[in-house]
Amino acid sequence: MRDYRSESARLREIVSGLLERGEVELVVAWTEGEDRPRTRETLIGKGREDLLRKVVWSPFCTTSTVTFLKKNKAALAGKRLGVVVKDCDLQALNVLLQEHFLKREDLVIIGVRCDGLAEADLFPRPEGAEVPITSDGGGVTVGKQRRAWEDSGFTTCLTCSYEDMKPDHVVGEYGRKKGKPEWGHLARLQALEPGKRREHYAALFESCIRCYACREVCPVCACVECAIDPGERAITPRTAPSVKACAPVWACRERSVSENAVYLLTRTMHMAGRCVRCGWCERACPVGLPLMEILDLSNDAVRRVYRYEVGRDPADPPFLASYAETDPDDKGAGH
Amino acid sequence: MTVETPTTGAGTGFEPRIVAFICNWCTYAAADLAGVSRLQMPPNTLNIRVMCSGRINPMLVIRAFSQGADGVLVSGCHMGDCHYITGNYYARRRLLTLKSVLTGIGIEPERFRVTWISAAEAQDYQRVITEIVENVKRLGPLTLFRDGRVVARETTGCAEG
Repeated sequence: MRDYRSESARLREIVSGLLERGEVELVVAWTEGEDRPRTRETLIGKGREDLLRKVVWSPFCTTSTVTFLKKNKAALAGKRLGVVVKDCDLQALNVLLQEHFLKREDLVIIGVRCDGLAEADLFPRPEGAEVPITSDGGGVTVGKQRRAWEDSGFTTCLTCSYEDMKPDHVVGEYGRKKGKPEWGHLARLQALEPGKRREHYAALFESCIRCYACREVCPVCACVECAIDPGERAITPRTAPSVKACAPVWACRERSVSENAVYLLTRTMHMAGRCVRCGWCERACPVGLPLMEILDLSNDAVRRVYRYEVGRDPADPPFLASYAETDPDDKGAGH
Repeated sequence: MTVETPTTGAGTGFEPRIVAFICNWCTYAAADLAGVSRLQMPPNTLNIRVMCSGRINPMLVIRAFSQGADGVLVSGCHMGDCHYITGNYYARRRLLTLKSVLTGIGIEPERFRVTWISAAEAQDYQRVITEIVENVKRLGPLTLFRDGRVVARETTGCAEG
């Protein structure tokens, strides 16, 4: 049985200690407000006792602190940061560290041992901050309300296998056996003949409205300038041809199967060896597209064919920036 | 970029459009040798010479398919023979990951081939081209991306395409 109120107290001690000793200037952590048990990522500086009091760790810390870092990279550049991370966040953080998006020496990583996440909307609002939040191998309990992990809203956590990574500080102990990556949905799709698969994925491509919510919410989709939707770059009639030549437009903004397919396939390739399978793209998608069905095509190849472990260590080379002489070759028509 | 349908070809049947990205140092030389040796092969390929197979961004392949290619071939030097030492090793990992993604969404594996052909292997080049054209001819046109896009592009004119 895990008691998240006491684990939160321990987390607050660590965070306030880091700020007091001046080891970090700012800490990114989850805080809880009146709408508990819902949480949000918050940037906490020294002397902000009001915010520090609200720091929590619970299965309701569903958002990614790494997405927060990614979004606020420019504002946080050059500052020494403390960052509280779950297992999937730590994987994503390692991916960004591998790619030198962030510097390891700028970060103090506080890892919380995560047994799974739960959707706050599924639980009634507890009265007051003292209502206990606990979990065990079977599910999460808030006050008197209990839900099994299987129906607490985060299916991706059921197949999460990340554990025992090495952050600088650790909060909590695992209270539940981790799952195994599961590819059943993929196997079911792959059992279909190519024509049926094409229909299935064409329907997925067709429904995409290209809002880029999946990109925005993704902890590792962190390019300064997106290849598909370059926001910084405006092409006007006066733009020189030489500038345009350096700025190819890979997919135009037209909403059609072909252009959406270029976006989603490119995203899948850019995620190869980087996707931590947190499932946030699916949760953010306003159309409710099963985006993991396409991302898992590369995830499956990376993990099963190449035996590459995503985000295991900041010193590992990124998947596509490395090779092995034993990598498989194209087996021709029968691949 | 829109891939032109080859005007030559046998009869009225389906003539596939194949985009072949071939590396300057090996496969392009093989294609050249195949040409001067007068080896017969189907004229359905649009050859694009690149300096190294490592230059091939998966987006180029995806874009070729979405713009109307029925098949794509990427061919470079044999492993260990890369003019830039390791370019084809990187290409292999990247392109075969792409291949499993494309196969996963239902593009038949015959439509996207990654091969290594040295400058001396003109006959291998002839064989690969013949194979891919025959296979794609058998499979028919790639319909996944034919969603009225071509019509839409001509009528509305996609400024960015």
